[in-house]
Amino acid sequence: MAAGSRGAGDRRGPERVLALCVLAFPAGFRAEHGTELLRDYAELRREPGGAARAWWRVLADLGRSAPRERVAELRVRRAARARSDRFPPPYREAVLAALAVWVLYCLTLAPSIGFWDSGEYVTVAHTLGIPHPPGNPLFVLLAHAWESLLAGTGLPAALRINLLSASASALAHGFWFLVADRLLAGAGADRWTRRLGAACAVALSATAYSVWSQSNVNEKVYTLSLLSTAALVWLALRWRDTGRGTAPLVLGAFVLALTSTNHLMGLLAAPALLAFVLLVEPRALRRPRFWAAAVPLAALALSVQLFLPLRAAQRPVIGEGDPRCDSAFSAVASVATWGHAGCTRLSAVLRREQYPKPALSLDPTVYPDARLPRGPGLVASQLVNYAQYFDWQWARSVAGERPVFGGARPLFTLVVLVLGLLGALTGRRRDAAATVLMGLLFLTLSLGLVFYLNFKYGWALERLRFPDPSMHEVRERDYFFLIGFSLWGVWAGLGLAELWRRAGARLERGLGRGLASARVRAWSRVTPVRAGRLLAAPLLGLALVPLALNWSWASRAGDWTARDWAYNVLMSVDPYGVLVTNGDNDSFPLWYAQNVEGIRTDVSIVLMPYLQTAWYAREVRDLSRPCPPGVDPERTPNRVVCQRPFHPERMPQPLARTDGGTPPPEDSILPLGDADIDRIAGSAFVTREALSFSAGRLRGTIAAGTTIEPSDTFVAVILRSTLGRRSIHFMTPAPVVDRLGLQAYTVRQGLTWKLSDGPIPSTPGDRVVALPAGPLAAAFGAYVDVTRGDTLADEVWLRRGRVADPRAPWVDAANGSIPLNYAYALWALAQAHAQLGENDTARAYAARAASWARLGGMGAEGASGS
Amino acid sequence: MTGKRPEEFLPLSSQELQILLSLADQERHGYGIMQEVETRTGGATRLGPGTLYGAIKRMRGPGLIEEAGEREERDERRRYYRLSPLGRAVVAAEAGRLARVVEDARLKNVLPQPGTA
Repeated sequence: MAAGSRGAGDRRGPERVLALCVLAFPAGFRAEHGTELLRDYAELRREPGGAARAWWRVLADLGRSAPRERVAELRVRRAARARSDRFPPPYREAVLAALAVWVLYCLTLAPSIGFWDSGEYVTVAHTLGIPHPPGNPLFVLLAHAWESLLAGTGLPAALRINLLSASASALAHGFWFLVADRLLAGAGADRWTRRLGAACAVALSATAYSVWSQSNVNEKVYTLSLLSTAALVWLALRWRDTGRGTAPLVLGAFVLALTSTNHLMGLLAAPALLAFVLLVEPRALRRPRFWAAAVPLAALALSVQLFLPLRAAQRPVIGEGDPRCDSAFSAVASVATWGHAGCTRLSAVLRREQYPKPALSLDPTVYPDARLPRGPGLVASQLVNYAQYFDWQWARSVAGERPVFGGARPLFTLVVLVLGLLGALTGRRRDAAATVLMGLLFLTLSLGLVFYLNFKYGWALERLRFPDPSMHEVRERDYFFLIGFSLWGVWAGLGLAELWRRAGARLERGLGRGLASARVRAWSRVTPVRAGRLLAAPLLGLALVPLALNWSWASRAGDWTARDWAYNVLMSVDPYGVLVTNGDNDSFPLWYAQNVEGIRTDVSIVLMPYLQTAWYAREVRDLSRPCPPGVDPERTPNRVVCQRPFHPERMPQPLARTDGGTPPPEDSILPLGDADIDRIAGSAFVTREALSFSAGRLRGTIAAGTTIEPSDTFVAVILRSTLGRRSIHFMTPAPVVDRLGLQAYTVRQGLTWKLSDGPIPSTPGDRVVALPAGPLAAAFGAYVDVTRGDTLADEVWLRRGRVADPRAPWVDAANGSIPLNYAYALWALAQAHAQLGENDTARAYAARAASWARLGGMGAEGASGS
Repeated sequence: MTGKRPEEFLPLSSQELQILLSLADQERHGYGIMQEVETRTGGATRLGPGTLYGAIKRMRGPGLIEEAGEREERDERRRYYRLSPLGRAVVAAEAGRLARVVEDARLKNVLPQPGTA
């Protein structure tokens, strides 16, 4: 008789407690011995020695025996499942596959940050900050914990976090191995075909260009989404094979909710998974037990989003969007409604309001200036853009410098396309549900994404027809599609396995046993592989083509470019200087250098696009305000406290000679109250007539019809408040300098323009040289500080690793402005030395400039500086 | 009956040995086994119900213990257990094994010979 069979009215208090305690035993055990347990525990309680001693005996026995019985029951259930499992998973081989992928990624791992978002993500992981909307809280928490766990290895922070990307992607490929093996099993393949086919699938997927290049540096958070997607597909297949119980569905719901707190990309697996569940077991989602468990667990998963307002309240040094909330209730409402209600600031982050996106029916290339419909020409171009990225995946180094279907690369693409189609269609009759799962998943992650993302023209596409850069994406966007490319690699592996099987069968039939090599036949009697399949085995080598042809472009080994760029830029700025930057590549590496490596934390970085927002203006103000007595911002380096000090002892020796002893500033660079900041952040205007602008001794003219954005107004305030008290530098190009009419006051100092605090006198022997007007004058600056520039270029700048290797390609043409910035700085020095009559030095600088210019994609004429 | 030899079940855990010994002379219910073991070992071994019935479940599977039906006792029906022939052979084998260990200990002067101080 099972426990609990007596009426509740008969039970006294202690017996009710005993009845609850007995629930710790598994159901089967209770059914067998429940009544005896209750009775004997009651007898134990009645034994002499006192109630406390009796209860101790009861609880001690429960604590020892109940967990053991639970474990025993789990083992029995697992053994029963294993006996009934028609497709036992090859876990050992999957672990080996994942390990092999991990080793590959480690061999090609970036030693530090990359460009674009890499510096931002590594910095927020290190400082527990908040990256750009939607905030990616799961990534931040995971990466921070991961970095902390690996702290004892002595590896640099950035490398540890890069290892997270590599490990997530490797683990994903362990799951893909299991998925591929299972799909081949469903198609009726034998063991060898399944294992080798799965290995091919993993090889092709892991070495697909975008997958590989996102896995060996933490530039985005999509490798975590790749991991969740692969894991969910595997979970779905196992759910089908192991009784279609409720627990795997609940786990799937939890993982889907959790991955959404990393990035919505992971949620894109939901439609395919839903379709699979409905095909296999339509009633599964009607089980009350499923909803009773899935809803609270999903809510628990989504609660990770609450990290954003909690951390924002502590004012982390990177706290984008400042998603602070006035109350816990408003924060929860915001999370529960995904930003459609509740806390305004958190909602703005969750819905990415900082990045206004046009409706899917509108043309993004002219939005928001015009609202034109998204025409078929643009749609076609978006599809071509996707095809262009697909073409990159399998042989990127073939005509690599030609980003649009260059050279013989499309031939390789065609082979993988055919293999993928073969893989997708193989087994469709035997396993229609799995075919639907994989097919719908791929369609969502390819065409679905193309439709949803509604990109402008691709960075490298349609440049002749639409030369205006604002009509194009600011960079190549292949990374958005990496999960789909990974999936195609899996399919191609399955197709390769099928091709091998068919080729082997044809060889065996066509050649006849008599023609097959006697030695091969003798060996094939020992192994299970038939002679024909053995002869056809070299076909499997196709799986290694992307490994060979993508390596030179995907590898980030020895790539210090972004980190050294940050160092070189920051060293170009005077102590306590202000540095106005333009975007990701001239800002995020600097954030990393300051907040992770502690390099030049005294510099106030002002990122123009973010200066459109009130939250960022407040951060700029507060990070640069003088410290109250007794307050040391370096005691809490991950939070906004006050101006961080300049450390002359940490400067490289050539600069320490000139920069030592600079006193800290006495005011913030943006001395405005919150109300003024809010007012400016909400106002942009167009000048109806020419306006004079003055700051200190600077005089400029703002042309009529100039659009003055909030960021321009904030910069103007910074100039007026700070000129003469701190040096002000700009990254080039500096449109705000042009808009304010201050071009004539720019002095090139290394990689930056320093704004003079007045007209620049021309003094004999002075080594601040005026540069002549010319086609590249806008990039060189009006003057160049030769002494400072020489010191920086010859004694301070770092150029090491991959970027110093003339054979290594500059793989991302979209950030070709980085090497061009070096080229402009060196050309300016060459020009200045030439004007000073120092021709040998001028030629040396010109040669260095030319090597950078070639990296930046300039042709021979441009590279010569002419 | 599984057709197994008694030696395949050795060595027994101390709890399993005590339970089988308890059933060696008569059939008992669960609480009776607990009481008998505690009395016979002078309190050195005290079985709790969870531990007892877990062990009974593990020994019933291979047939060392059998259920001996239910009987009325003090207005309650209790389930009784008895040793099966295989169980008797197993406990005898275990006792023999332990006896040989004791004999070896005596030969090595780890334990005194019987009859000596």
